[in-house]
Amino acid sequence: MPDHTNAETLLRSERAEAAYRAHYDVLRFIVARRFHIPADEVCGVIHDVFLSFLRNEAKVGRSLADERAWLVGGVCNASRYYWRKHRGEELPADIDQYVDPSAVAEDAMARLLLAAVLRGLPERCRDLLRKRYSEGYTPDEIAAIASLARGSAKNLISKCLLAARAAFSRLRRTSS
Amino acid sequence: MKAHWHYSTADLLAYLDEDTEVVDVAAVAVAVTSCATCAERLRDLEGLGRLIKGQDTWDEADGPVTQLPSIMHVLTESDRIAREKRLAERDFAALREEPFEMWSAYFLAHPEARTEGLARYIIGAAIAELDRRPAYALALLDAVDAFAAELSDWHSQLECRSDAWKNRANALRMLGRYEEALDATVTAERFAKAIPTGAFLLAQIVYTRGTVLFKMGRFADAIVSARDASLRFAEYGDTARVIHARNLEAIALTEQGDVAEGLRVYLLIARQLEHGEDAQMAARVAENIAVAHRRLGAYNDARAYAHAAQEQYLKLGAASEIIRVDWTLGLIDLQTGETAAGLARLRTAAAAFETLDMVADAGFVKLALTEELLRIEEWSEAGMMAAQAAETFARAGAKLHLTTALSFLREAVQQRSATVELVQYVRDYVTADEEDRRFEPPSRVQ
Repeated sequence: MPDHTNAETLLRSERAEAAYRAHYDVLRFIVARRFHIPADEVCGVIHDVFLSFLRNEAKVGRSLADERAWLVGGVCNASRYYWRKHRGEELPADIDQYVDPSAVAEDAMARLLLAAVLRGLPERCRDLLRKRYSEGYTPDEIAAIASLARGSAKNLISKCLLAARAAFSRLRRTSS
Repeated sequence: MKAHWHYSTADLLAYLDEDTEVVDVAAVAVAVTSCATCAERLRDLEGLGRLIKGQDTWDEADGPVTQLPSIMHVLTESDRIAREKRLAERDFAALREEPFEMWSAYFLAHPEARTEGLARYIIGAAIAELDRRPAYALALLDAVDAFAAELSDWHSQLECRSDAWKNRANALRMLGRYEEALDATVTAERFAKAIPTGAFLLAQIVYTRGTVLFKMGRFADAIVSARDASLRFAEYGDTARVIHARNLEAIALTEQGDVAEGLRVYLLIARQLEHGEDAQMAARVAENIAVAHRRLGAYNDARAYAHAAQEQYLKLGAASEIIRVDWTLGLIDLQTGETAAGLARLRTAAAAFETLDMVADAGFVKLALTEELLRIEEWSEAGMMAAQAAETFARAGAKLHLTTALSFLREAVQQRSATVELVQYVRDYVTADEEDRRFEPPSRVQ
């Protein structure tokens, strides 16, 4: 066999592996959080798309951004296919619309970073932020729940948010 | 100069919370309109606010930290594809020596040869033959479809068959069998839709359908397909294919008569191409812009873009395209009243095409010459040119339906009953090249 064929195989495998390491998390986030595919099916959907990536490898641009966009397009479509198979032809509008793969990837990466930051915050801080920003409690309500003075509650929320923001900015800088 | 004072992050957060106890909300609202730094920081904080309010973010933060699953399964498949590709080279070399009807016997003797790798390899070989030998490409694709139907992995089977049928559509289009080509895209689409990762293939099928519809003269339908394809490619971030689809849209718009809209799309594409590496496409779009300007009567712009396209083709060494642009420049000359120069350019272009053995293109230039000679009532020269055009198309292997049309034109010119409209009618018929459509002389010009 000519050597170039083996080299080509190796390159293709290496490329797939590198792309897998670089993009798996973003793809997982999109499949699980945006398309709400059940947790035990997420990996299967992504692997299908990686196989398709291997088959279409020559047609995909070489830059990291090109690869990511192609893979994001792939998982969005594979997720829609999943729901069509399980729910019939009619999909909810938010799932069935074409997306801008770069914007979707950017959003997913930002949410993954922020999730990592929130995970790393002291529990009390994380709980306060969750109550305020995810569950929608007012500072007064939070003060009552946490048995804090109103001013202290407001102060703590503000400090926690500033700490989260600082860590988020740092992570963003290092990841880019 | 007085130093500019900026609000603190805490102030801006309080502003977003509309917390009047911490900050004068109205004052911040005014300040951010005049302070670019504050406005940018505010946008940044609003972005953070959107992210932290998102349920997705919290679900992710609360979920287990996931480990990267093993990619072994994917890499094993990658190895299989590569191994099958190597074997496919050997098997195809053997199959190529056999007539198609013997292929099933080969597969009976070598059942292990019937692989996804071989199917893909032959599809690749067929694509390489599409321009030169479309009938042979079609036969190859038929053979692929026959054995791909027996591939054990349903995903591979459907993807290969979809790809084969998409390329069958291309081959049939090149053979002028447009209805069959359209049907082939429907079959290709059915297969692509049955697999989870068929959407990228589907985008290519929709584009292929657009090219068939364009050749059929169904420009409105071609535009719909081209736009659909460009949206699908955009979802994969595939800018190059988006540009190809939009170029098809612009060509169809131009041919439909909506030249100004076509030009608008071309100019958008040209801007995107400025930063890319697709020099061939950039040259083609410049050439198309020249044609659109010519049709709109903007002859100076038309000439400028035609010369720019020629320069780019020169760098690419694309001899045939340089001649094609010369053809456009000749038509511009004719439309600006420079008849002698225009006719000379067209004659040179026809001769140059013949030198490159591009006989059919030479025939089309001769039809353009016939049209112009009729317009200026040079009957005898027009008669000679019509005869030459007919003879040129015959040399290009034109089938009976086309030679009938060209003979009709030649006789009409010789009898001095031909009109410019008749030349255009015959040219459109020859361009469409639909074997199933018998040539009917147009009643309005009979």
